[in-house]
Amino acid sequence: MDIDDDTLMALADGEIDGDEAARLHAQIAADPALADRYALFTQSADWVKAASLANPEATVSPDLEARIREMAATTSPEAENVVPLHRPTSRWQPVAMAASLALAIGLSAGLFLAPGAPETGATILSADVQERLGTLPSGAEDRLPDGRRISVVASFTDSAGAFCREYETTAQGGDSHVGVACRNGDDWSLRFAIASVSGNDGYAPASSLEALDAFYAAIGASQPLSADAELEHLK
Amino acid sequence: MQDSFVEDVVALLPNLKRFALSLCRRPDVADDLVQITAERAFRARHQFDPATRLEAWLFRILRNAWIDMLRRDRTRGETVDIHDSPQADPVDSAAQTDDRLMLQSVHAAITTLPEDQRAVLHLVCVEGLSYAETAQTLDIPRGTVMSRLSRARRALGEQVGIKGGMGR
Repeated sequence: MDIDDDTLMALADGEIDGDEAARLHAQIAADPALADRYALFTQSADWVKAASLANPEATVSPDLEARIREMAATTSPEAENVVPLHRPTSRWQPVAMAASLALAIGLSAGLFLAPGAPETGATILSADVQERLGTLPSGAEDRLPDGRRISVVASFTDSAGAFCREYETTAQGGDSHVGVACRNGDDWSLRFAIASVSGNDGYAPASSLEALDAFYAAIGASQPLSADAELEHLK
Repeated sequence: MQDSFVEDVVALLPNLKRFALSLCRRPDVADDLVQITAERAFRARHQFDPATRLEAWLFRILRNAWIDMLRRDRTRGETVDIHDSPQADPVDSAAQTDDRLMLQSVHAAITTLPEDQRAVLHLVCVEGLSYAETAQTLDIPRGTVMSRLSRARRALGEQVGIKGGMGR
């Protein structure tokens, strides 16, 4: 009985074990042609590994290690300097496809979504909100003249390099919205907003923020800017 | 206070550098990728699930950092020369020379593979990730991992002449 290449490869890569592996090995040992095909997979793996390990460029310089250790000492984890929005999954990763974006929005109390439609969005943000977006550092909170509180969560840049900010507004009754606005000249345009259904603990459930994550992926958002990088944009 | 997370990440820096090289093929860019990866890992350390393998999590961050980099067109379109190897060891025996030449030709062959094939080849064959871990790291289905892996090996076999019965 012949064994297909996928099975031979999986065997060579340790994906098959136990009785089945033993049976396959016995069959390979008894069939030189099969053994040749199997050897392609084991030997290519050996050579690839050896070549990578022997690559003189694949060394970490003491300088790089020192820089990284220093960074470890000075980098504060995200959770410590952002407002409490709970995001258990990795953010800003280009995992989500445009299709799931549409689905997520449909499911998640979406209010407004206008990627690439800044002129529409510009009319929605009040001058008061725009002013805060241009000045408040991430993590800071302020009160708007209409009584709502506004806090800026994070800053980043989109794929076109526009400076964007995620922020949250909370009315006195507890209703809150999470929005993303990007700067366009002197104006801020709203790109995304969801009503964030906050629980009593002030944490928005993760599901409502999946749409936000999908949005970030779709616009090619950078990682959140560091405090210093952000400051450059706020000047 | 001893921070074991930091130590664990530092211990994996060589693995990160190798994976970065397999993606970008340029040592200077690879160093940047390693540094970005470490920085993101330190920032997002609370997102790491200790029940999973740290290297798989880090590879995923690195891979995403590379995608970000490509997206910003910082490296796209640049042609990459296959770099000169360091100077020859003056006391090479014939056997060592054979090995070194073989490794160089494997290395050269790998660099000609498409990036998506290089990534799976590296994660599975060098880092020993399972197909499932590789699929998760690269956000592709397990079947895609296998088809890329198999294509990459066939191409290597043809270029380098890895054949059954060759020994070693």
